[in-house]
Amino acid sequence: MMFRRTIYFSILFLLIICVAKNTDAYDDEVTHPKITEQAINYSQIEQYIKNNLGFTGGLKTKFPSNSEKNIIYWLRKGSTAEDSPMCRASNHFHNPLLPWDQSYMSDDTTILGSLIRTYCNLTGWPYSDRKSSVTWGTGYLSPSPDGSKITMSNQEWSWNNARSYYYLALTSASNNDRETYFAKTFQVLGQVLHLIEDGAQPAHVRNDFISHTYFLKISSINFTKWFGSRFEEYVKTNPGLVTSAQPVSPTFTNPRLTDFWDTDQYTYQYDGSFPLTSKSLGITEFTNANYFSDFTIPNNNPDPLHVFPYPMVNNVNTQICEDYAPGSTEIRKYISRKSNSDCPPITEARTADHFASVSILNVESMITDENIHRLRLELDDNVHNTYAKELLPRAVGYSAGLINYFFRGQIGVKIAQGGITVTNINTETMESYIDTATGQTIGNISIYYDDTNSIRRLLTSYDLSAPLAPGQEVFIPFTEPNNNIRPGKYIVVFRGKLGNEEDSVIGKVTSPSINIYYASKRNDIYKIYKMDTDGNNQTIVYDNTNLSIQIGKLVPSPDGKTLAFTVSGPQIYLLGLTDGSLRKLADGEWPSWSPDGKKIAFQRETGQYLPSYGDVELFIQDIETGIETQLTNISGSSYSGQPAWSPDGNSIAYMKFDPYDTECLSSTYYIIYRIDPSGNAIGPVTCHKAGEPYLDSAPAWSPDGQSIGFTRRRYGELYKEALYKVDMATQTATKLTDSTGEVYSEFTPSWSLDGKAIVSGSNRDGDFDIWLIDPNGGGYITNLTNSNPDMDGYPVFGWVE
Amino acid sequence: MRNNHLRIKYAPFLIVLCFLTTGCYATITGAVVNAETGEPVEGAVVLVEWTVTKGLGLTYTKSHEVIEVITDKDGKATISGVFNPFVNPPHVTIYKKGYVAWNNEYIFPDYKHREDFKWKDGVVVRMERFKEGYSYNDHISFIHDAIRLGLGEKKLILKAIDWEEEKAFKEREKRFK
Repeated sequence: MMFRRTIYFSILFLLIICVAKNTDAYDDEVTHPKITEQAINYSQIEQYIKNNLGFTGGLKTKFPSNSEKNIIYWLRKGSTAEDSPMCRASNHFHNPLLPWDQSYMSDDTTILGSLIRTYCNLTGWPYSDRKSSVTWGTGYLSPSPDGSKITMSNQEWSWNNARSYYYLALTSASNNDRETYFAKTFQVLGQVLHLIEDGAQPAHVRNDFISHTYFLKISSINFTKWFGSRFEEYVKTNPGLVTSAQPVSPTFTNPRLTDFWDTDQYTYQYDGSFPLTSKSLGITEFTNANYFSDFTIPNNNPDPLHVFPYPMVNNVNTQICEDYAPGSTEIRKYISRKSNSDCPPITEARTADHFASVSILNVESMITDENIHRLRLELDDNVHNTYAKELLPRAVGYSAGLINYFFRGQIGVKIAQGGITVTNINTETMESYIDTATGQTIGNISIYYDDTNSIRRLLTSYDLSAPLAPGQEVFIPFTEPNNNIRPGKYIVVFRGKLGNEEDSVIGKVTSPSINIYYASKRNDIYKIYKMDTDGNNQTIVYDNTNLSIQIGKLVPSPDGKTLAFTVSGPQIYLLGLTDGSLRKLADGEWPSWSPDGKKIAFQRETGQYLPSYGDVELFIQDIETGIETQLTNISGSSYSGQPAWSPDGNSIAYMKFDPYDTECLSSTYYIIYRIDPSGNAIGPVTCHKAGEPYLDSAPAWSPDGQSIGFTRRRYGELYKEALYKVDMATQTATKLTDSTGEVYSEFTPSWSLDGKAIVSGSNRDGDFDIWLIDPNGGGYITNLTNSNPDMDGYPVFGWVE
Repeated sequence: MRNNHLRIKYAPFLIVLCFLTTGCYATITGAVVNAETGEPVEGAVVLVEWTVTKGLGLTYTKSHEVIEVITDKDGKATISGVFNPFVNPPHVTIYKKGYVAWNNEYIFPDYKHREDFKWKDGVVVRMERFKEGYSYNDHISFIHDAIRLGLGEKKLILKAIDWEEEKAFKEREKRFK
């Protein structure tokens, strides 16, 4: 018999632990993630991550990138996961009237509450470690940043963790690690948002855990499902209330992190006016001061743990109105706030203010405005509806505010010669601080870049020995790396104190906007255009209006700020891409920038020979001084043109025809050849044998310097150039177009900055358009301009900051 | 031997317990049809997730099982049952590009309660076409709620809605512009 009893009690205990259906806080399955997503929608996060982190996909950016889990997923996951395991949620309460080391949930003193406390004590969540939600979320025991701060051994999902993960997401070497840390950043932020959202649940800010054990209804034989929070159950079953909640966001001046929970303005010492509706209050203060939970209604003589000074029910600020009871036409009496309205007529719209419902336990004759302060009150679903409509906007608005607070830091970055100028474009000061736990000074700006193997590397770090006030700038010198996978792209990371937040992190990924520049002849007028890499957003860069001018080879400078281009004459001009300035550089054509952006190589015709052969030679001009150096000098008719400066700066590939040199048939046809920047020969890149009457032209280096793309046609077959690439290690040339045997005319190839595509002018569709071509043998990818009868040519990838 | 005897003795009790709670769901085959034409909707993703709520007072929800299947040319799909007295009622979401996502609890766009669904063999689900004027962002948020995005692991339905994530993104971009 004893054995059976033990079995029965064991089963009962297991049922309690395994199938209890009392919801804690707002429901973690539906309500919390829904509030979070609503907050995301009303926050600035998407614009922020696009503009500052280079996440062009915004919130649909996935982590890891080969998964289906986007940023919304991770934030929602955090908001769901914060309630797990069971006893974790005992840290989701905060009574703003008390000091923060006493403001945690402490009313689990009933029989059921004691059982739960014991269970938590036994499973690693002892009562002695219990924290208020503000401490649980931030570590602070009084307002940040000056308040005392603690570390919590069982808390890995606080604001501090979110900041740390964010720092790692920005700075970790491997892409896999960075993606993992970004996922964690968003999940942890979602967990912290859960705590803010709980701040808009009266029971959570009025130490009213036991209202979570309210009798709901007999729904199944699992008796634990009969109990729960009636308010939370109401919101859970009416998710449209969250959808329609228009955010009420906080308006803090010089916000402190903990202000989102509690500004410590509303305490027992508060002697200001009511109702407390200021948006400069913490969310727990607003909720505590203005709303009841089931067991904290002063009229009902609550026990000492559930006594709160406000809100008050008296005949000065409240009155009795009548309305239909929830879901019926039975008339019920309600406490209505006078500040909201007079008692309206009873209609199906239920327009009375349902602040509390008058219990049927009151003697009918006693239910008068004079006795209003001593009537027994309840919270029914009309009241829940009223509360939800006033509290959910705060939950959404404060959550959106906290998201914006996390992603508020902004760094202005200007890339200059030999370094970066970083500007504090916040309204808050960026500075270093001394971490009280470690004694370390924390405050620096670090510059990272991704190398050609996608490894993130620290370039330099600058210690903030003095505060950087709003508007102030600092120049951080460095040597430009020669293995930056995307020249001009740097990851600038601040870690230190931002305004009132210690251990803040700001990330700024300089995001060169990748464009394709090209010349286009439309209505007989040449202009220079740029477009996105998918062909969209074609816009004029140089608005030539002169019918007699033709525009040829163009190329942007390595810093993306200047476009060198050729006009008929021929002459080379420099166009400032940011300021629109224009100046002539030299007589000549086909400019090519040195990788340091200081010089331009080009070709110039130095003589004419009958019948129509010229003498074309290579030159270099120092842009700053204007000093020219002639690199090649072959007497008589010859061709040394179409230069392409190598990415490492050590050689210049060009198109060569030399009647005095029989190497590789270059005295008869054209080959690609290399010299160094001083004019010393390095050797042929392409080489023809007998029976190979090829004319190779328009060399273009791949960004890694491993290949050169070029065009090749047979002698006498004008306009039948095919696109090739030659491997620099093996000198093997591979045809990239013309897989069907049909030969189109390909002109002036240029590699994408990541080396994954070649862009070229091509008449494959019958007129000259800009095509993307696969450098690895996949042939044509897409026609980007497809703009018959326009003629488009001389495409080149470039970027602008 | 004694243990077996005990199991047999308590078997009827456990079966009754199982059926009295909401945790026992038979394998069913249902059909998805176009609400206007009655034509079967082929290639729709049917997602069913069972959750378990744990704890007492302080509770949390875990995904118990996720099933994703695609409707065949007759619009039919079979969902294997779950026989576990501890699970909550299943969340069912059906998605097909061009249609309003169907959920067994709520209706887009107002989150009205759906009252016309029962877990039974032969159930027919009628999907409405996605109408011009609906917000993709509102719809994608509804889908996230319906599928409990962030709870259990889902794949097929996330792949299926990916194009609409893009649409929602473009809609948000316009809003900011």
